[in-house]
Amino acid sequence: DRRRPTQNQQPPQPTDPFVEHAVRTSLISFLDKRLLVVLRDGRNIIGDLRTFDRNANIVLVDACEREVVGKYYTDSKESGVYLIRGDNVVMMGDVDPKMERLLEPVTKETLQKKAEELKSKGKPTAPKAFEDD
Amino acid sequence: RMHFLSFFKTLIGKQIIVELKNDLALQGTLHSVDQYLNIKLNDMKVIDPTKYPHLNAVKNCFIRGSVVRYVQLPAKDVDTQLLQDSTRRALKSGEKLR
Repeated sequence: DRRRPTQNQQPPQPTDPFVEHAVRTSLISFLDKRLLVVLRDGRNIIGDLRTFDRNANIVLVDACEREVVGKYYTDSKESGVYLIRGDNVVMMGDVDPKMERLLEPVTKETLQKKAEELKSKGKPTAPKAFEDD
Repeated sequence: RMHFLSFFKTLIGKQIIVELKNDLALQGTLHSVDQYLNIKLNDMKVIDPTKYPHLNAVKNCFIRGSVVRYVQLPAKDVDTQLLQDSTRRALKSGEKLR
């Protein structure tokens, strides 16, 4: 698959301790992986990590916004390239495709209904957004 | 000032719980920590997953240091005496530099 050349490769194993530290601590291990990125405004973006920098600014391709309520989710129809400023990143993690199958894709309307159901029961629907202090 | 970075490095491989500013709490094994105290956790699971289950599919994650509120550590893995001593030493050398 030309678009994901390094999907299944390990990053090159370094011998230099400074390089080894950089590989261990940085986002190198996430390159070309499908990531779920949680943003400060509460949004979730799913996409392939193409590049990053020291401030966790990242570029995701084939990315879309995923709204999740419980085990139901809906992905935005358009997918494209996202450049996300590092300030806005809360966390990012690699998505295990086996576990992802436990989630159920639904339409946006269904998702809204599920959200209202949870709200009426007084339960939270998603992690709250927050601003930096 | 490498004080807390060195401290976190002693906890690599241990189970910790990171509580974020958006009230999300993530448990996992500390894989790495960097100069910004960005944290990488392996085998991450969400505390109280019924609240936020969409992160169930995530195994390894990167947490930006700026969003961390607390880090919960196993008490037996923290040598408080050592920490106090190194803090005193750090303060001493800090004062001398000024």
